[in-house]
Formats: sequence, structure tokens, C-alpha cells
Amino acid sequence: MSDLELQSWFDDVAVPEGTVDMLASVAREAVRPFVRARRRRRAMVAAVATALAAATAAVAYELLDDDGLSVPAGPPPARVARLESPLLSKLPWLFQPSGAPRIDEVPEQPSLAFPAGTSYGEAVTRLFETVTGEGALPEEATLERALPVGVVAELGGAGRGIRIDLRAPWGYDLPAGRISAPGFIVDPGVPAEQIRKVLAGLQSGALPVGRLPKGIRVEVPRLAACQVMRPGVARTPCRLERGGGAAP
Amino acid sequence: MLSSNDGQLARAARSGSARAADELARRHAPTAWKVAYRLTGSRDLADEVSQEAFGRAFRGLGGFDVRRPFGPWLNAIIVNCARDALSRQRFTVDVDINLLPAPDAGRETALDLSRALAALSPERQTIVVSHLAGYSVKQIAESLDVPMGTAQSRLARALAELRSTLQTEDVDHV
Repeated sequence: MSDLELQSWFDDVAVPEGTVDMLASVAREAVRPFVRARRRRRAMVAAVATALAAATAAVAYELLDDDGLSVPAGPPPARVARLESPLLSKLPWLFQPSGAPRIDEVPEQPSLAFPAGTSYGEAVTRLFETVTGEGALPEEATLERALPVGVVAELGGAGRGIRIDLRAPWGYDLPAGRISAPGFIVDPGVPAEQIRKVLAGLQSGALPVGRLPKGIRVEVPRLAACQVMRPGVARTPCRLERGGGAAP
Repeated sequence: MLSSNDGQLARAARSGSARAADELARRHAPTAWKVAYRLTGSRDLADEVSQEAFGRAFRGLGGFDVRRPFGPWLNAIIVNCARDALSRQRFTVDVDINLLPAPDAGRETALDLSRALAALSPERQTIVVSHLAGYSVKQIAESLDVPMGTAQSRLARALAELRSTLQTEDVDHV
């Protein structure tokens, strides 16, 4: 069969009358929720950006220092805006106005369960995208009971997906136990100006959605074995400093 | 295809602009329905699939990269919806003969082509229907986030597989 025959096979069909109106109607209806989300997002993105900018700036400083370039001044997150979401506004990885809190000193938060087959990296990337872009948790994930204190991720098994701890989805450092904010990896080819724009966007809340520009991606941290719960495998709790205190 | 304008419309639509959503939908609706029809071989299924795909696409505009062409992205969603719909139908495709080309030989060809297209992988289906819908290799490459050469070779392999499947069906029919 020639290209021409193939093309005419595709083209040779009449679109039924009313189809275009029908699909346009579906589209109009589908974007209606965005009107409500827009107001929520504006407040959320600005506040989230303030919180994330500190972590981003640290990464960018390292990258830009090599070129002798400077970055915009960091934000003064003395006061984080009041948010509508009672859950998101309490997440210690998202808002750290007084520095990173310890994992064993923050209130319990639910875990977030993803569909089977989702990797840890996919889960945290998706979480970043929806929280910063939409001010919401990923729609494909569900809230479940909290993981034990100190467990960052529970790997799925037998049809279950991964669960991540909303207290510290990016983990915490050892032995201090300070909860990590999201980090970013910037490919070598990304122009410094692009990095500046991202920083400025995060600081001002001007990034329209949570998707980062090409070449800049959310860093997937390497978790210590004691931070991961595996099905059927006994876990040794992480030992935190300060008198040998341990995250159970 | 005016991808840049599509991007502006998509950006406005995901901010809640019904007018932008309407315009973007009208721009792509005819081709999208044709894609759905060619993937399913049924007018009813094409209606169902295109509606489902438009709902998913416009609700999920937050996940669309406005720098990339909208059409191939939409086609990928249509492909997934079509596969879902066909699997629900247990692969018994209800072909609407009235919408097929008039000559008998043409009807056979159309049926074979729909079957051959349905046999491709989702990515190859997306590439082929995007190509047939008039998108350039460059636009397909952008939508797949691969170099143009890669998109070109994937398109060539997809078309080759399509033709190979058709030939196999010809042999089966002898």
C-alpha cells in the first residue's frame, strides 16, 4: 500500500454533523474546575514558591558559582502565607520558615499511596508537580494512614503501590534527622539565565505549573535503608543524634 | 497546524477560559474524531472515544507542555482511550459500513487497515495517526521529546509494521 493510498484511507471519512459542537462542549465543561482552582493556586503557588526557593537557591548557587554568576537574593520567608489547604499548609518539607525541623519532632501526617508500578522517583516528582502547579495532591494517589515515624517510603507488594510519608517525602538527613526540602538537578547545558528565570519564577510564584523547564528536574534522593520499609523485610530504625535518640 | 497558538489557547484554557477551550477543541475536533474512527472502525465508538479523550485532555491540560504541539499529545490520549474502549468491547469492533468508502474493495481495505492499525503498539499508533493527521516529523519528535532522526525512524518502522500486517492479512484471506 502506497503512502497516498494510506493517506486517502485516513482522510476519506466524513465527520458526522454535530461532532465538533459536541467535543467543544466537552472541552468547555472540562476546564470549568480550573476557574475555582486558579484562585486557590495563586495563593498556593506564591507560598510554596517562597518555601521552595531556599532549597533551589542553594543548588543554583553551587551551579552558578562556577560561572561566577550570581543568583537573585533569597526570599525572606519570615511569614508564610496562610493557605487554604489544612493538610498542605502543615507539611514540614514544604514550609520551613524556621529551618528544617527534625523528623521526630513534627506532627504525624498521612501517607500518600500511589498506584502499583509507581517508582519512588515518579512519586516524589509527581507530588512536586501537583503541589506546586495545582496546590493539590496527585489525583491518582490516595491518602492513607501514617507510616511509622522515620519511614520515608514503604515499597509496594502484591498489587499495592508505593506509599510515601507526607512528613518527609524527600527524606531526612542522618544522624541529625532534619527533614529535606525538594532539591533540583540542573543539566550542564542549561543556560544560567534559564536557571535565574526558574528561581525568579519560584520566588514570585510566576511559574504557571509545577513542570520545570527542560533540563531542570526534581532530584530523587537516595534514601538510607533504615528509611525504607520493604514487604516482609524487618527494618532497623534510623539512629538519630542527640543522646542516641532513634526514630522508631 | 499552529502549534504556538495552540499553546496560548491551552494556557488560557487551563486557567479556566471556556472560550479558549472551545476554540482549541474546535480546531482539533475533526481530525481527532477521524483518528478515533480509524482506530476503532466504528462511528459509535469514535463518538465515545473522542468524548472521553477530550474530557481527559482538557481536564489534564495542567500536564500538557505548551511548548509542544497539542495535536500529537491529544492523539496519544485518543489512542489510549481507543484501546480502553476496544478492550471493553472484547475486540469485537462494530464497523459502520456506511462510513467506509463506497467500492467493495475499498471497504475490505478499510477494515484491514483498521485491524492492522489496532495491532500496533500505542506509541506506533500515535505516531502513525499523527503522521496521517498531517503533523510533521518535527512536531511528532517534539511531542515524543526525541530527536527528529529518532522520530523519523520510528515512523518508518511503524509504517513498515502496518504494511507488513496488511500483507499478512492478505495472505490469511487467500
